[in-house]
Amino acid sequence: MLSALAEVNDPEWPVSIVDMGLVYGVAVEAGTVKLILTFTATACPCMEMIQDDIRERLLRVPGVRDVAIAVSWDPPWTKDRLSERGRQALRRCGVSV
Amino acid sequence: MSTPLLDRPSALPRDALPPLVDLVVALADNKHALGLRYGEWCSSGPTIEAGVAATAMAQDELGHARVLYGLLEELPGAPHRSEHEWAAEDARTVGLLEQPLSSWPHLIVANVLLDQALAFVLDTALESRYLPLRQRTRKLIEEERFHAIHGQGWLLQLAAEGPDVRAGLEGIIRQAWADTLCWFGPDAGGALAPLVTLGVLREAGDSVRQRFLQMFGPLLRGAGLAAPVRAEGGRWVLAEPLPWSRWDEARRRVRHA
Repeated sequence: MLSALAEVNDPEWPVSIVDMGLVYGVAVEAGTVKLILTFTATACPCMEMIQDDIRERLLRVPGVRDVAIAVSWDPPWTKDRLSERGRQALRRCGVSV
Repeated sequence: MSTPLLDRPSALPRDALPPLVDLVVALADNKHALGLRYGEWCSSGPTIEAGVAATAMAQDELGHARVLYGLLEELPGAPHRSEHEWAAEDARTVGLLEQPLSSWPHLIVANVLLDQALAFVLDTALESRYLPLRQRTRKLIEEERFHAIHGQGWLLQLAAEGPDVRAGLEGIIRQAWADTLCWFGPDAGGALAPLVTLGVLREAGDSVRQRFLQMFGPLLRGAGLAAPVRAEGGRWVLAEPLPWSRWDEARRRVRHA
């Protein structure tokens, strides 16, 4: 599941939601992917778009029939959650991390 | 032995629901209104940077309203709210936000006074026993930190412009004062007291108001602004009594005189 999620990019940056550190948990139960997801800010304007992209991608994984996404704000996202690959991609875009 | 968390609405005692719903509705509606009012200054601040900051704060406040409205969806008996739809007839906002913030100093007073008062109340839920509230609070408080820096910086900058601007700021602060200082609730916490007993909030009422005054008093003195607060015995205290006879506990607002 994580490799499929790694193909879903943050709409604002060329960084996957996995490298962005937005995925807090993933489990599969009887064909349903249960995902715990956070966002960088409560005002993120792309929340629904990201969730739509996740559903679209995960439903293409064989055996997945449903996707249940729970949004979590605890712990709050910080840039410490970025992967090294995510940091390098952001630096290439001129973002200081 | 630590007190067990209340991890879902059904774990809350029935009599805790009405005050919790009232508090969350008032917090969220005020944040929604602040977002809309800040947003009116997106392209008309005194500098381009000021407009950008107002835009960012507007977006944050609307995000906070969205997060808190999500909390309401789980609470039995809570009214329906959405960040996409302003509950005009039922909104539980303070008087200051009923009209547009008519000048940049009005926005800064709302920012440094009301916005921060809401943050102080939210802070009392940081270690809440009610898990759905606790899980949302830290993120909101972290985002509010930038609003505090913005408001305090601008208040000092505006106050340094001269006596006319300071007099204007003092008038706006006086206008927003009762609404803001009453927001923490009556001295013993009023309707929020049972939530403190239950551990949903750390404290309410005068203890929160006192912490707010210890932050706000020095800020006003540093800005050279007179306000209904004075130093006494090493502490900042209210210089005038608050209008509790006009306080509407359920709607958390001071009724018009």
